[in-house]
Amino acid sequence: MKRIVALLFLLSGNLYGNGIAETRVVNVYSHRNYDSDRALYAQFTKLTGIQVNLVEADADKLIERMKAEGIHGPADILITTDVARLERAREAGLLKNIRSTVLENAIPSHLRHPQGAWFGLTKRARVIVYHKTLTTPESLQSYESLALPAFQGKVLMRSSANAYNQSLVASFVAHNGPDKTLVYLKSLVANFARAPQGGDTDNIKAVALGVGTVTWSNTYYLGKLLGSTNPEEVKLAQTVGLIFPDQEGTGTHVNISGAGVSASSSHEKEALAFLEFLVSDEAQRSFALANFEYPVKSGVEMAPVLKAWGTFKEDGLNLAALGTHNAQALRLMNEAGWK
Amino acid sequence: MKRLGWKLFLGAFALIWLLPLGSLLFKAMGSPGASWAHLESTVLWDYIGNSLILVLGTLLVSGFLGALAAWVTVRYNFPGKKVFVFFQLLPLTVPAFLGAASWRYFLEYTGPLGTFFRSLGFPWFLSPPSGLLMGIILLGIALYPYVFLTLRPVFSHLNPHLLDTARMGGWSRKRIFFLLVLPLVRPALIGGLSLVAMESLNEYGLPSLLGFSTFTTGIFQTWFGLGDLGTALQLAMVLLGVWVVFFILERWGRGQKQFSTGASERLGDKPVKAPRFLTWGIWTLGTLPMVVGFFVPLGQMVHWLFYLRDASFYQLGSHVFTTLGILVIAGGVGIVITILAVFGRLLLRPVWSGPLRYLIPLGYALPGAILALAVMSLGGTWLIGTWGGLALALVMRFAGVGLPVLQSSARQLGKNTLDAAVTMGKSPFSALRKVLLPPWAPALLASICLMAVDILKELPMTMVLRPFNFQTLATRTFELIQNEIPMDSAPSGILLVFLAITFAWLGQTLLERRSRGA
Repeated sequence: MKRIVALLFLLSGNLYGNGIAETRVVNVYSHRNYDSDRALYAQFTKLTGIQVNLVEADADKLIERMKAEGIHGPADILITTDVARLERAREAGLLKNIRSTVLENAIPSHLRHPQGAWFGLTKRARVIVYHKTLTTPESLQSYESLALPAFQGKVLMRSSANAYNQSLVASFVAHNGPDKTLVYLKSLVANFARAPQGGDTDNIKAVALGVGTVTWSNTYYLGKLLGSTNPEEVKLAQTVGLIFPDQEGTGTHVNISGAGVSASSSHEKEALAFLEFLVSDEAQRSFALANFEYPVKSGVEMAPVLKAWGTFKEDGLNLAALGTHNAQALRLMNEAGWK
Repeated sequence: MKRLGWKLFLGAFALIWLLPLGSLLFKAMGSPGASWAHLESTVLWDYIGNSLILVLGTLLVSGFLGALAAWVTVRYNFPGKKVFVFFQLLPLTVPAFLGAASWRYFLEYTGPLGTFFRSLGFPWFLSPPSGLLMGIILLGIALYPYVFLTLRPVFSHLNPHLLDTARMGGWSRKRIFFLLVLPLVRPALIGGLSLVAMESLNEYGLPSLLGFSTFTTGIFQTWFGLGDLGTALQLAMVLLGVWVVFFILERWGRGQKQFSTGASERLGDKPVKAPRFLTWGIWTLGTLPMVVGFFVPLGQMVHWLFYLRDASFYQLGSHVFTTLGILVIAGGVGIVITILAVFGRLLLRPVWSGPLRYLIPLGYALPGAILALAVMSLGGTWLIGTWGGLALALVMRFAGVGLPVLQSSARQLGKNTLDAAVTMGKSPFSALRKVLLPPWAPALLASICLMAVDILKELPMTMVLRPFNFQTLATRTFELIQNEIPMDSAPSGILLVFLAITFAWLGQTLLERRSRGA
């Protein structure tokens, strides 16, 4: 027993990452946890010989871990699934500014931090999903439509604890100010068909079943449902449609999954190579094909379902604003009674 | 000073609890708590109300089912009793988030039931379960084995003559159970119920899946959503404070009373043959929670297997290896600490042995992620992201689950034996090793098995404290459910449940042997 314990303690030291001097490594803290990503990292290792070490957890927890580990912390890269967390990490001094022409050429400027503290890797559009026969797309051209009296008892939502919902509401705050947003949220909550619950997929299914007629969802959840291995789910997914809201106005809300280089990074060269690989055509294609996210790089091949949904006007809001307004968004959601 | 080494040793281990919790308290007190006014005017009372209802409801369900199952299996003999006893543990082997998720998928339109009924031409109206009441039922059933496990050995040790006397005095069965038996087993009952209460209060995954907020979901809402970790920590300290007060009150209420009945005969040795109607009743009532808490979740996972994609077996072998590896380390550290806590009580005065013993249960009093923060607040890469650091955190959380088992063993064979051995010239260490440990061994192993079941299911601490490239069956299952591709979670989920069953079965067998032997 003692011998096993001793052995494992030793092992734990070596697995650490800084361990063997000869191997080049990049240590990644990530909120993303998809198998397709891991396959991509393996591809990176094959191409460059740089080993990718991975810890996956909620971004806020990873941020606290980075704070606790301090300047000798092993993390080289932080990946999150929304921009607010990247901003939080930056404000806490956990990210360092990076210059890279590869990254700057591949990623449009509104999808990266002006000084290079973080970079968008994929785009996630939060759209309206509606029941094709129970309602018409004409009545649903804006996020604001969901708060109209016509949709009383028809709106399905997941909890206000969800970061994607907070981010969308943060964009309302940025565009319209807190007072107008609160009025809107109160009408929206009054339209809820049931207490907020489940995930995006749950609510899409509930729309398909007529529990309500509309919900918000990130596009990739609908993409995954349409590609489900369960034919019953595919049938359900086919009864709903998708609308990119506010095409006449500010544009559809887009958040990013993005990454920054840790301030404590001791493998900066490897970290940069890793980020540059993630905006390569190959990696961008994998994000789009395997996970139905939108690539940040233009001209990359997309999954057929994304192509079928067509192009859309994105909200041009500076993404950092979503981070700034995130807390206020949740306060307003609390005040409006969005559980 | 006499036995200085032991005192230092015990003190050092008490620091495992004291330092992180103290540092967390310090951090919480240093925060301005900027969100209190907002929370108080909007959601705080909702959090508190829901948490109270959830805890009380869960206690009611768990207490009722656990006490009843323990009582009938001690008091009566009935066909299939061995199987019945084993079945009572099964709900414990399914992590709460997995149970809730599988129930949601089981009852939804595209789930197995809905698909089946529609294929026969019937419509399907049920929607996925949600809400507080569902939460109470699912959690109550998932947690009642704790009550069952703590009460059964105690019931079994009751003096049968007490019951005979009461019966001759004309007391009804119900009256005997509620007015005589339950008060006699109060410490064990409270021990089991406080585990249930802490676990239901700290549960995060299940409420967010079923769509209601609790004090714990509120802590995370404040941390993640409002970005106000300071206020979140203060909320967590309130939770910790509630438990500290509870433990003090409980201890004070119990006083120095010993509930050992000291009889040579035991109730568990002489079960009565159950009348036919009772056998039916026992099986009916006992099967229901097993179906809800185990067979439906397992069935749903098996159903998911049919919709697996290719990627689903991704590195499954290494996940099993990692899971078992951390179990061995955490179990090893856990056993040393459990032995010390129990042995310390025999060897030293309470002022020296007390701190460790009273601090251990506090590891269960906070949500896992907050406890992880506490461990991280000790700082340093020597701890965070190492196998040892994670094992230490797991022990800090779960040692309280295993401790009571060994404690009750030490009550039967402890102080007097130790004194005799020491008088005969043995050192305390050699007395522990040669005289006490051999008869304690089954209880020790049983307490490790109980801890193992919990460690297997643990998520929040493992996720944030883990080393690089470290994936357990639980974290793997959780990530796939979280990514809303539950079918891919089936292989790891089923493996996890079967590992948990193995440990639960082993623990139960050892406990049974202990309560029959010695």
